[in-house]
Amino acid sequence: MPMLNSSLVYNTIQKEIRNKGVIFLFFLTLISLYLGHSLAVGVKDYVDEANMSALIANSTQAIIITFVSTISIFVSIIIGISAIRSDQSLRVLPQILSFPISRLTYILSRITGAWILSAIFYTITVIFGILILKFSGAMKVDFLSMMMTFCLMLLSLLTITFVSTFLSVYINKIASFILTIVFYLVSKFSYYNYINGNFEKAEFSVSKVLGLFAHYFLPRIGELNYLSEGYLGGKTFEVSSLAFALLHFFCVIILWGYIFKFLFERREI
Amino acid sequence: MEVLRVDNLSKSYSGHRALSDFSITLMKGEVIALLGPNGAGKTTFVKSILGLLKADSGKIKFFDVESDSVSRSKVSYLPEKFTFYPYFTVEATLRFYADMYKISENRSEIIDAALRKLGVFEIKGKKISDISKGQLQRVGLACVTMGDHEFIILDEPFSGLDPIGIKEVKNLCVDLKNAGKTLLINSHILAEMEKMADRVIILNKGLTLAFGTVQEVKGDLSLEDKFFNLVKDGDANA
Repeated sequence: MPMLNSSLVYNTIQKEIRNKGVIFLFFLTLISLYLGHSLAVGVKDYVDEANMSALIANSTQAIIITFVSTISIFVSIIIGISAIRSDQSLRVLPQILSFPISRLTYILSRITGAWILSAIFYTITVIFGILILKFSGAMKVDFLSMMMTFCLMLLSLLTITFVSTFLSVYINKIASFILTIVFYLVSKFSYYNYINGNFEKAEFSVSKVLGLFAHYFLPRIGELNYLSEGYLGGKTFEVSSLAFALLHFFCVIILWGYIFKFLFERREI
Repeated sequence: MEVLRVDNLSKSYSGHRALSDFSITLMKGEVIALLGPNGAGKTTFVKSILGLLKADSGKIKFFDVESDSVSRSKVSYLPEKFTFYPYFTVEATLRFYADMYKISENRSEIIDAALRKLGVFEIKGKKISDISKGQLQRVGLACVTMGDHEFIILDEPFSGLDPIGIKEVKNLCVDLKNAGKTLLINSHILAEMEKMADRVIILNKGLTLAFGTVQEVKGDLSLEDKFFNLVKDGDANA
Protein backbone atom coordinates (compact mmCIF):
# COMPACT_ATOMS: atom_id res chain seq x y z
CA MET A 1 0.00 0.00 0.00
CA PRO A 2 1.66 3.27 -1.07
CA MET A 3 2.25 5.93 1.58
CA LEU A 4 0.98 8.72 -0.66
CA ASN A 5 -2.05 8.91 -2.90
CA SER A 6 -1.38 11.28 -5.78
CA SER A 7 -5.11 11.90 -6.40
CA LEU A 8 -5.55 13.00 -2.78
CA VAL A 9 -2.44 15.19 -2.93
CA TYR A 10 -3.80 16.85 -6.08
CA ASN A 11 -7.27 17.13 -4.54
CA THR A 12 -5.77 18.92 -1.51
CA ILE A 13 -4.14 21.48 -3.80
CA GLN A 14 -7.34 21.81 -5.84
CA LYS A 15 -9.48 22.57 -2.79
CA GLU A 16 -7.02 24.71 -0.82
CA ILE A 17 -6.05 26.90 -3.77
CA ARG A 18 -9.55 28.41 -3.46
CA ASN A 19 -8.94 29.35 0.17
CA LYS A 20 -9.89 33.02 0.43
CA GLY A 21 -7.35 33.68 3.18
CA VAL A 22 -4.54 32.33 1.00
CA ILE A 23 -5.67 34.29 -2.07
CA PHE A 24 -5.85 37.48 0.03
CA LEU A 25 -2.37 36.94 1.50
CA PHE A 26 -0.98 36.15 -1.94
CA PHE A 27 -2.06 39.48 -3.45
CA LEU A 28 -1.24 41.35 -0.24
CA THR A 29 2.31 39.96 -0.38
CA LEU A 30 2.83 40.87 -4.04
CA ILE A 31 1.49 44.40 -3.54
CA SER A 32 3.49 44.87 -0.32
CA LEU A 33 6.69 43.68 -1.99
CA TYR A 34 6.18 46.07 -4.88
CA LEU A 35 5.31 49.05 -2.67
CA GLY A 36 8.08 48.24 -0.18
CA HIS A 37 10.60 48.05 -2.97
CA SER A 38 9.40 51.34 -4.46
CA LEU A 39 9.80 52.95 -1.05
CA ALA A 40 13.33 51.53 -0.66
CA VAL A 41 14.32 52.83 -4.11
CA GLY A 42 12.85 56.23 -3.27
CA VAL A 43 14.72 56.41 0.04
CA LYS A 44 17.93 55.25 -1.63
CA ASP A 45 17.68 57.98 -4.27
CA TYR A 46 16.85 60.56 -1.62
CA VAL A 47 19.76 59.64 0.66
CA ASP A 48 22.96 60.99 -0.85
CA GLU A 49 25.45 59.23 1.39
CA ALA A 50 26.97 56.30 -0.50
CA ASN A 51 27.32 54.00 2.50
CA MET A 52 23.69 54.57 3.57
CA SER A 53 22.50 53.86 0.04
CA ALA A 54 24.49 50.59 -0.04
CA LEU A 55 23.13 49.59 3.36
CA ILE A 56 19.56 50.01 2.13
CA ALA A 57 20.28 48.02 -1.02
CA ASN A 58 21.94 45.16 0.89
CA SER A 59 19.21 44.99 3.51
CA THR A 60 16.48 44.69 0.89
CA GLN A 61 17.21 41.02 0.11
CA ALA A 62 17.04 40.04 3.79
CA ILE A 63 13.89 42.12 4.34
CA ILE A 64 12.17 40.51 1.36
CA ILE A 65 13.06 36.97 2.47
CA THR A 66 12.01 37.66 6.07
CA PHE A 67 8.73 39.24 4.98
CA VAL A 68 7.89 36.48 2.51
CA SER A 69 8.89 33.78 5.03
CA THR A 70 6.66 35.25 7.73
CA ILE A 71 3.66 35.50 5.39
CA SER A 72 4.37 31.96 4.14
CA ILE A 73 4.28 30.68 7.72
CA PHE A 74 0.78 32.16 8.09
CA VAL A 75 -0.26 30.69 4.74
CA SER A 76 0.97 27.22 5.69
CA ILE A 77 -0.95 27.46 8.99
CA ILE A 78 -4.16 28.43 7.13
CA ILE A 79 -3.77 25.66 4.54
CA GLY A 80 -2.70 23.07 7.12
CA ILE A 81 -5.71 23.81 9.33
CA SER A 82 -8.12 23.51 6.41
CA ALA A 83 -6.60 20.38 4.80
CA ILE A 84 -8.34 17.81 7.03
CA ARG A 85 -10.69 20.06 8.97
CA SER A 86 -12.69 20.98 5.83
CA ASP A 87 -13.22 17.26 5.15
CA GLN A 88 -14.60 16.93 8.67
CA SER A 89 -16.82 20.02 8.55
CA LEU A 90 -18.19 19.23 5.08
CA ARG A 91 -18.75 15.58 6.16
CA VAL A 92 -16.68 14.31 3.22
CA LEU A 93 -14.28 12.43 5.51
CA PRO A 94 -16.32 9.18 5.81
CA GLN A 95 -16.56 9.04 2.00
CA ILE A 96 -12.82 9.51 1.55
CA LEU A 97 -11.88 7.02 4.25
CA SER A 98 -14.20 4.42 2.71
CA PHE A 99 -11.92 4.40 -0.35
CA PRO A 100 -9.25 1.69 -0.37
CA ILE A 101 -6.64 3.88 1.32
CA SER A 102 -5.21 3.64 4.82
CA ARG A 103 -5.59 6.49 7.27
CA LEU A 104 -1.83 6.99 7.18
CA THR A 105 -2.01 7.50 3.41
CA TYR A 106 -4.85 9.97 3.91
CA ILE A 107 -2.92 12.02 6.50
CA LEU A 108 0.34 12.01 4.54
CA SER A 109 -1.40 12.92 1.27
CA ARG A 110 -3.29 15.81 2.84
CA ILE A 111 -0.15 17.15 4.59
CA THR A 112 1.92 16.76 1.42
CA GLY A 113 -0.69 18.57 -0.68
CA ALA A 114 -0.91 21.41 1.86
CA TRP A 115 2.88 21.61 2.04
CA ILE A 116 3.27 21.71 -1.76
CA LEU A 117 0.78 24.57 -1.97
CA SER A 118 2.57 26.49 0.81
CA ALA A 119 5.85 25.89 -1.01
CA ILE A 120 4.35 27.14 -4.29
CA PHE A 121 3.15 30.29 -2.50
CA TYR A 122 6.61 30.82 -1.00
CA THR A 123 8.38 30.15 -4.29
CA ILE A 124 6.21 32.51 -6.35
CA THR A 125 6.47 35.34 -3.85
CA VAL A 126 10.25 34.91 -3.44
CA ILE A 127 10.73 34.86 -7.23
CA PHE A 128 8.55 37.95 -7.55
CA GLY A 129 10.64 39.70 -4.91
CA ILE A 130 13.91 38.75 -6.60
CA LEU A 131 12.63 39.79 -10.02
CA ILE A 132 11.60 43.28 -9.01
CA LEU A 133 14.96 43.78 -7.36
CA LYS A 134 16.86 42.31 -10.26
CA PHE A 135 15.09 44.28 -12.97
CA SER A 136 15.38 47.55 -11.09
CA GLY A 137 19.08 46.83 -10.56
CA ALA A 138 18.66 47.64 -6.88
CA MET A 139 20.77 44.75 -5.67
CA LYS A 140 22.94 41.84 -6.54
CA VAL A 141 21.21 38.55 -5.83
CA ASP A 142 23.28 35.86 -4.09
CA PHE A 143 21.69 32.73 -5.51
CA LEU A 144 23.60 30.22 -3.36
CA SER A 145 22.56 31.80 -0.08
CA MET A 146 19.07 32.23 -1.48
CA MET A 147 18.87 28.52 -2.34
CA MET A 148 20.07 27.39 1.11
CA THR A 149 17.59 29.72 2.77
CA PHE A 150 14.87 28.52 0.43
CA CYS A 151 15.46 24.81 1.18
CA LEU A 152 15.59 25.35 4.94
CA MET A 153 12.42 27.44 4.75
CA LEU A 154 10.64 24.58 2.98
CA LEU A 155 11.42 22.37 5.99
CA SER A 156 10.01 25.01 8.33
CA LEU A 157 6.86 25.16 6.19
CA LEU A 158 6.57 21.37 6.35
CA THR A 159 6.75 21.51 10.15
CA ILE A 160 4.17 24.26 10.42
CA THR A 161 1.83 22.49 7.98
CA PHE A 162 2.19 19.26 9.93
CA VAL A 163 1.55 20.88 13.32
CA SER A 164 -1.45 22.92 12.15
CA THR A 165 -3.01 19.88 10.43
CA PHE A 166 -2.45 17.76 13.54
CA LEU A 167 -4.01 20.33 15.87
CA SER A 168 -6.96 21.06 13.57
CA VAL A 169 -8.15 17.45 13.83
CA TYR A 170 -8.67 17.83 17.57
CA ILE A 171 -9.42 21.49 18.22
CA ASN A 172 -11.27 24.27 16.40
CA LYS A 173 -9.75 26.51 13.72
CA ILE A 174 -8.97 29.56 15.84
CA ALA A 175 -7.45 27.52 18.67
CA SER A 176 -5.40 25.57 16.11
CA PHE A 177 -4.16 28.81 14.59
CA ILE A 178 -3.14 30.29 17.94
CA LEU A 179 -1.55 27.07 19.20
CA THR A 180 0.45 26.63 16.00
CA ILE A 181 1.86 30.14 16.41
CA VAL A 182 2.62 29.35 20.08
CA PHE A 183 4.36 26.17 18.94
CA TYR A 184 6.35 28.15 16.37
CA LEU A 185 7.49 30.70 18.94
CA VAL A 186 8.31 28.09 21.63
CA SER A 187 10.22 25.98 19.13
CA LYS A 188 12.09 29.02 17.84
CA PHE A 189 13.01 30.56 21.19
CA SER A 190 13.89 27.30 22.93
CA TYR A 191 16.69 26.95 20.38
CA TYR A 192 17.95 30.51 20.93
CA ASN A 193 17.88 29.91 24.69
CA TYR A 194 19.83 26.69 24.21
CA ILE A 195 22.59 28.13 22.05
CA ASN A 196 22.91 31.16 24.34
CA GLY A 197 23.45 28.77 27.27
CA ASN A 198 20.37 30.00 29.13
CA PHE A 199 19.28 26.47 30.01
CA GLU A 200 22.65 25.68 31.61
CA LYS A 201 22.59 28.86 33.68
CA ALA A 202 18.97 28.47 34.80
CA GLU A 203 17.99 26.75 38.06
CA PHE A 204 15.86 23.64 37.86
CA SER A 205 12.28 24.76 37.16
CA VAL A 206 9.19 23.80 35.19
CA SER A 207 10.04 26.32 32.47
CA LYS A 208 13.54 24.83 32.13
CA VAL A 209 12.07 21.32 31.77
CA LEU A 210 9.55 22.56 29.20
CA GLY A 211 12.26 24.44 27.35
CA LEU A 212 14.49 21.37 27.19
CA PHE A 213 11.54 19.21 26.13
CA ALA A 214 10.80 21.69 23.33
CA HIS A 215 14.45 21.71 22.33
CA TYR A 216 14.86 17.93 22.13
CA PHE A 217 11.36 16.69 21.20
CA LEU A 218 9.98 19.41 18.92
CA PRO A 219 11.21 20.16 15.41
CA ARG A 220 13.85 22.89 15.77
CA ILE A 221 12.42 25.67 13.67
CA GLY A 222 14.74 28.04 15.54
CA GLU A 223 17.77 26.11 14.34
CA LEU A 224 16.51 26.07 10.76
CA ASN A 225 15.89 29.82 10.97
CA TYR A 226 19.31 30.40 12.51
CA LEU A 227 20.99 28.49 9.69
CA SER A 228 18.91 30.11 6.94
CA GLU A 229 19.50 33.62 8.32
CA GLY A 230 23.19 32.75 8.55
CA TYR A 231 23.36 31.67 4.92
CA LEU A 232 21.46 34.76 3.91
CA GLY A 233 23.95 36.90 5.78
CA GLY A 234 26.85 35.27 3.95
CA LYS A 235 27.96 32.97 6.79
CA THR A 236 29.18 29.45 6.20
CA PHE A 237 28.54 26.50 8.51
CA GLU A 238 30.25 23.17 8.98
CA VAL A 239 28.58 20.36 7.08
CA SER A 240 28.25 18.38 10.33
CA SER A 241 26.16 21.08 12.04
CA LEU A 242 23.78 21.17 9.06
CA ALA A 243 23.68 17.35 8.95
CA PHE A 244 22.90 17.09 12.69
CA ALA A 245 20.19 19.73 12.37
CA LEU A 246 18.57 17.82 9.50
CA LEU A 247 18.94 14.47 11.27
CA HIS A 248 17.25 15.81 14.41
CA PHE A 249 14.55 17.44 12.28
CA PHE A 250 13.64 14.27 10.39
CA CYS A 251 13.79 12.03 13.51
CA VAL A 252 11.43 14.34 15.40
CA ILE A 253 9.06 14.72 12.42
CA ILE A 254 8.89 10.92 12.07
CA LEU A 255 8.29 10.55 15.83
CA TRP A 256 5.42 13.05 15.80
CA GLY A 257 4.14 11.54 12.55
CA TYR A 258 3.77 8.19 14.30
CA ILE A 259 2.03 9.83 17.25
CA PHE A 260 -0.41 11.51 14.81
CA LYS A 261 -0.96 8.21 12.98
CA PHE A 262 -1.52 6.37 16.28
CA LEU A 263 -4.13 8.89 17.44
CA PHE A 264 -5.87 9.30 14.06
CA GLU A 265 -6.23 5.56 13.52
CA ARG A 266 -8.15 5.33 16.80
CA ARG A 267 -10.40 8.21 15.92
CA GLU A 268 -14.03 7.36 15.16
CA ILE A 269 -15.38 9.05 12.04
CA MET B 1 -18.96 -16.94 -2.51
CA GLU B 2 -18.98 -14.93 0.71
CA VAL B 3 -18.82 -11.20 0.09
CA LEU B 4 -19.06 -10.15 3.73
CA ARG B 5 -18.83 -12.14 6.91
CA VAL B 6 -19.41 -10.50 10.27
CA ASP B 7 -19.11 -12.48 13.49
CA ASN B 8 -20.29 -11.24 16.89
CA LEU B 9 -19.82 -7.57 16.18
CA SER B 10 -20.41 -5.36 19.22
CA LYS B 11 -20.09 -1.64 19.67
CA SER B 12 -20.90 0.63 22.61
CA TYR B 13 -20.84 4.40 22.98
CA SER B 14 -20.11 5.47 26.57
CA GLY B 15 -22.04 2.58 28.10
CA HIS B 16 -24.85 2.57 25.54
CA ARG B 17 -24.87 -0.61 23.47
CA ALA B 18 -25.28 0.37 19.80
CA LEU B 19 -24.69 -3.10 18.36
CA SER B 20 -24.76 -6.38 20.25
CA ASP B 21 -23.16 -9.61 19.01
CA PHE B 22 -24.27 -8.97 15.46
CA SER B 23 -23.46 -11.70 12.93
CA ILE B 24 -24.26 -11.90 9.26
CA THR B 25 -22.98 -13.47 6.05
CA LEU B 26 -23.70 -11.91 2.66
CA MET B 27 -23.40 -14.00 -0.48
CA LYS B 28 -22.48 -12.76 -3.95
CA GLY B 29 -25.35 -11.33 -5.98
CA GLU B 30 -27.70 -10.81 -3.03
CA VAL B 31 -29.68 -7.70 -2.20
CA ILE B 32 -29.88 -7.31 1.58
CA ALA B 33 -32.18 -4.77 3.22
CA LEU B 34 -31.01 -3.40 6.54
CA LEU B 35 -34.07 -2.10 8.36
CA GLY B 36 -34.66 -0.52 11.72
CA PRO B 37 -35.89 2.65 13.41
CA ASN B 38 -33.54 5.56 14.09
CA GLY B 39 -30.85 4.56 16.59
CA ALA B 40 -31.24 0.86 15.79
CA GLY B 41 -27.55 0.43 15.02
CA LYS B 42 -27.71 0.37 11.20
CA THR B 43 -25.24 3.18 10.61
CA THR B 44 -22.99 1.84 13.39
CA PHE B 45 -22.93 -1.49 11.57
CA VAL B 46 -22.14 0.07 8.19
CA LYS B 47 -19.44 2.36 9.63
CA SER B 48 -17.91 -0.54 11.57
CA ILE B 49 -17.53 -2.75 8.51
CA LEU B 50 -15.98 0.16 6.61
CA GLY B 51 -13.47 0.76 9.40
CA LEU B 52 -14.83 4.23 10.17
CA LEU B 53 -15.71 3.07 13.68
CA LYS B 54 -13.65 0.72 15.78
CA ALA B 55 -15.80 -2.19 17.00
CA ASP B 56 -15.41 -3.33 20.62
CA SER B 57 -15.33 -6.95 19.52
CA GLY B 58 -16.10 -9.17 16.56
CA LYS B 59 -14.60 -10.11 13.22
CA ILE B 60 -15.22 -8.60 9.80
CA LYS B 61 -14.11 -10.21 6.56
CA PHE B 62 -14.56 -9.05 2.97
CA PHE B 63 -14.11 -11.79 0.36
CA ASP B 64 -12.53 -14.06 3.01
CA VAL B 65 -9.95 -11.43 3.95
CA GLU B 66 -9.84 -9.47 7.22
CA SER B 67 -11.30 -6.01 6.66
CA ASP B 68 -8.63 -3.45 5.84
CA SER B 69 -8.01 -0.77 3.25
CA VAL B 70 -6.95 -3.42 0.68
CA SER B 71 -9.89 -5.79 1.10
CA ARG B 72 -12.23 -2.79 0.88
CA SER B 73 -11.05 -2.10 -2.69
CA LYS B 74 -14.01 -4.12 -4.01
CA VAL B 75 -16.48 -2.14 -1.91
CA SER B 76 -18.13 1.20 -2.61
CA TYR B 77 -20.22 3.19 -0.17
CA LEU B 78 -22.92 5.84 -0.51
CA PRO B 79 -23.36 7.62 2.84
CA GLU B 80 -26.76 8.64 4.16
CA LYS B 81 -26.27 12.25 3.16
CA PHE B 82 -23.95 12.33 0.19
CA THR B 83 -22.00 15.56 -0.02
CA PHE B 84 -18.84 16.91 -1.60
CA TYR B 85 -16.89 20.16 -1.77
CA PRO B 86 -19.52 22.76 -2.76
CA TYR B 87 -17.15 24.54 -5.17
CA PHE B 88 -16.46 21.37 -7.20
CA THR B 89 -18.50 20.72 -10.32
CA VAL B 90 -20.43 17.48 -10.70
CA GLU B 91 -17.92 16.34 -13.32
CA ALA B 92 -14.92 17.17 -11.08
CA THR B 93 -16.56 15.20 -8.27
CA LEU B 94 -16.93 12.13 -10.46
CA ARG B 95 -13.39 12.58 -11.76
CA PHE B 96 -12.13 12.52 -8.16
CA TYR B 97 -14.07 9.32 -7.49
CA ALA B 98 -12.74 7.83 -10.74
CA ASP B 99 -9.18 8.68 -9.62
CA MET B 100 -9.72 7.11 -6.22
CA TYR B 101 -11.21 3.99 -7.83
CA LYS B 102 -8.21 3.93 -10.20
CA ILE B 103 -10.36 4.15 -13.33
CA SER B 104 -7.91 5.27 -15.98
CA GLU B 105 -9.15 3.81 -19.27
CA ASN B 106 -12.18 5.43 -20.92
CA ARG B 107 -12.62 7.60 -17.86
CA SER B 108 -14.68 10.31 -19.57
CA GLU B 109 -16.97 7.77 -21.19
CA ILE B 110 -17.49 5.95 -17.87
CA ILE B 111 -18.25 9.23 -16.09
CA ASP B 112 -20.71 10.33 -18.79
CA ALA B 113 -22.41 6.92 -18.81
CA ALA B 114 -22.84 6.99 -15.01
CA LEU B 115 -24.31 10.51 -15.16
CA ARG B 116 -26.68 9.56 -18.00
CA LYS B 117 -27.84 6.46 -16.15
CA LEU B 118 -28.85 8.58 -13.16
CA GLY B 119 -30.37 11.31 -15.34
CA VAL B 120 -27.93 14.02 -14.28
CA PHE B 121 -25.76 14.32 -17.38
CA GLU B 122 -27.08 17.79 -18.20
CA ILE B 123 -25.86 19.19 -14.84
CA LYS B 124 -22.32 17.89 -15.10
CA GLY B 125 -20.91 21.42 -15.43
CA LYS B 126 -22.82 22.74 -12.40
CA LYS B 127 -21.27 23.22 -8.98
CA ILE B 128 -22.31 20.91 -6.16
CA SER B 129 -23.62 23.95 -4.25
CA ASP B 130 -25.97 24.81 -7.14
CA ILE B 131 -27.82 21.50 -7.48
CA SER B 132 -30.89 20.23 -5.61
CA LYS B 133 -30.88 17.62 -2.85
CA GLY B 134 -32.36 15.02 -5.20
CA GLN B 135 -29.78 15.77 -7.89
CA LEU B 136 -27.01 15.53 -5.28
CA GLN B 137 -28.27 12.11 -4.25
CA ARG B 138 -28.20 11.00 -7.89
CA VAL B 139 -24.67 12.34 -8.29
CA GLY B 140 -23.67 10.32 -5.20
CA LEU B 141 -25.20 7.22 -6.72
CA ALA B 142 -23.39 7.91 -9.99
CA CYS B 143 -20.12 8.16 -8.04
CA VAL B 144 -20.46 4.87 -6.18
CA THR B 145 -21.86 2.85 -9.06
CA MET B 146 -19.28 4.12 -11.55
CA GLY B 147 -16.52 1.75 -10.42
CA ASP B 148 -16.91 -1.93 -11.12
CA HIS B 149 -17.28 -2.83 -7.43
CA GLU B 150 -18.57 -6.22 -6.38
CA PHE B 151 -20.15 -5.01 -3.14
CA ILE B 152 -22.09 -1.75 -2.93
CA ILE B 153 -23.36 -0.31 0.35
CA LEU B 154 -26.17 2.21 -0.03
CA ASP B 155 -27.20 4.12 3.09
CA GLU B 156 -30.66 5.61 2.47
CA PRO B 157 -30.32 5.76 -1.34
CA PHE B 158 -33.91 7.04 -1.78
CA SER B 159 -33.39 9.99 0.55
CA GLY B 160 -34.46 13.29 -1.04
CA LEU B 161 -35.72 11.68 -4.25
CA ASP B 162 -39.10 12.26 -5.86
CA PRO B 163 -41.23 9.24 -6.96
CA ILE B 164 -39.58 9.26 -10.41
CA GLY B 165 -36.15 9.33 -8.78
CA ILE B 166 -37.11 6.46 -6.45
CA LYS B 167 -38.26 4.41 -9.44
CA GLU B 168 -35.00 5.15 -11.31
CA VAL B 169 -32.85 4.22 -8.34
CA LYS B 170 -34.85 1.05 -7.86
CA ASN B 171 -34.24 0.17 -11.53
CA LEU B 172 -30.54 0.91 -11.06
CA CYS B 173 -30.41 -1.46 -8.08
CA VAL B 174 -32.12 -4.17 -10.14
CA ASP B 175 -29.58 -3.61 -12.94
CA LEU B 176 -26.73 -3.89 -10.46
CA LYS B 177 -28.20 -7.07 -9.03
CA ASN B 178 -28.60 -8.53 -12.53
CA ALA B 179 -24.95 -7.66 -13.16
CA GLY B 180 -24.06 -9.91 -10.20
CA LYS B 181 -23.33 -7.15 -7.70
CA THR B 182 -24.07 -7.55 -4.01
CA LEU B 183 -26.07 -4.73 -2.47
CA LEU B 184 -26.55 -3.82 1.18
CA ILE B 185 -29.29 -1.20 1.36
CA ASN B 186 -30.17 0.67 4.50
CA SER B 187 -33.60 2.22 3.97
CA HIS B 188 -36.80 3.35 5.65
CA ILE B 189 -38.93 2.73 2.56
CA LEU B 190 -40.14 -0.73 3.49
CA ALA B 191 -42.50 -1.23 0.53
CA GLU B 192 -39.63 -0.80 -1.93
CA MET B 193 -37.36 -3.05 0.09
CA GLU B 194 -40.02 -5.74 0.20
CA LYS B 195 -40.03 -5.85 -3.60
CA MET B 196 -36.27 -5.58 -4.13
CA ALA B 197 -34.51 -7.44 -1.33
CA ASP B 198 -33.58 -11.11 -1.25
CA ARG B 199 -33.02 -11.06 2.50
CA VAL B 200 -33.96 -8.68 5.26
CA ILE B 201 -32.37 -7.80 8.59
CA ILE B 202 -34.45 -5.94 11.16
CA LEU B 203 -32.45 -4.25 13.89
CA ASN B 204 -33.59 -2.40 16.98
CA LYS B 205 -31.47 -1.02 19.81
CA GLY B 206 -28.44 -2.94 18.56
CA LEU B 207 -30.21 -6.31 18.56
CA THR B 208 -31.22 -8.41 15.55
CA LEU B 209 -34.99 -8.84 15.71
CA ALA B 210 -35.31 -10.79 12.46
CA PHE B 211 -33.08 -12.07 9.70
CA GLY B 212 -34.03 -14.17 6.69
CA THR B 213 -35.63 -14.06 3.28
CA VAL B 214 -38.39 -11.51 2.85
CA GLN B 215 -41.00 -14.27 3.00
CA GLU B 216 -39.48 -15.85 6.14
CA VAL B 217 -39.42 -12.53 7.95
CA LYS B 218 -42.83 -11.12 7.00
CA GLY B 219 -44.88 -14.34 6.97
CA ASP B 220 -48.49 -13.52 6.12
CA LEU B 221 -48.16 -9.83 6.93
CA SER B 222 -46.75 -7.06 4.84
CA LEU B 223 -43.11 -6.20 5.64
CA GLU B 224 -44.26 -2.85 7.00
CA ASP B 225 -46.72 -4.46 9.46
CA LYS B 226 -44.23 -7.11 10.51
CA PHE B 227 -41.56 -4.45 11.04
CA PHE B 228 -43.97 -2.36 13.13
CA ASN B 229 -44.99 -5.36 15.29
CA LEU B 230 -41.41 -6.50 15.86
CA VAL B 231 -40.14 -3.06 16.82
CA LYS B 232 -43.15 -2.31 19.07
CA ASP B 233 -42.88 -5.72 20.77
CA GLY B 234 -39.17 -5.18 21.24
CA ASP B 235 -39.79 -1.77 22.82
CA ALA B 236 -42.50 -3.19 25.11
CA ASN B 237 -40.21 -6.02 26.29
CA ALA B 238 -37.26 -3.71 26.88
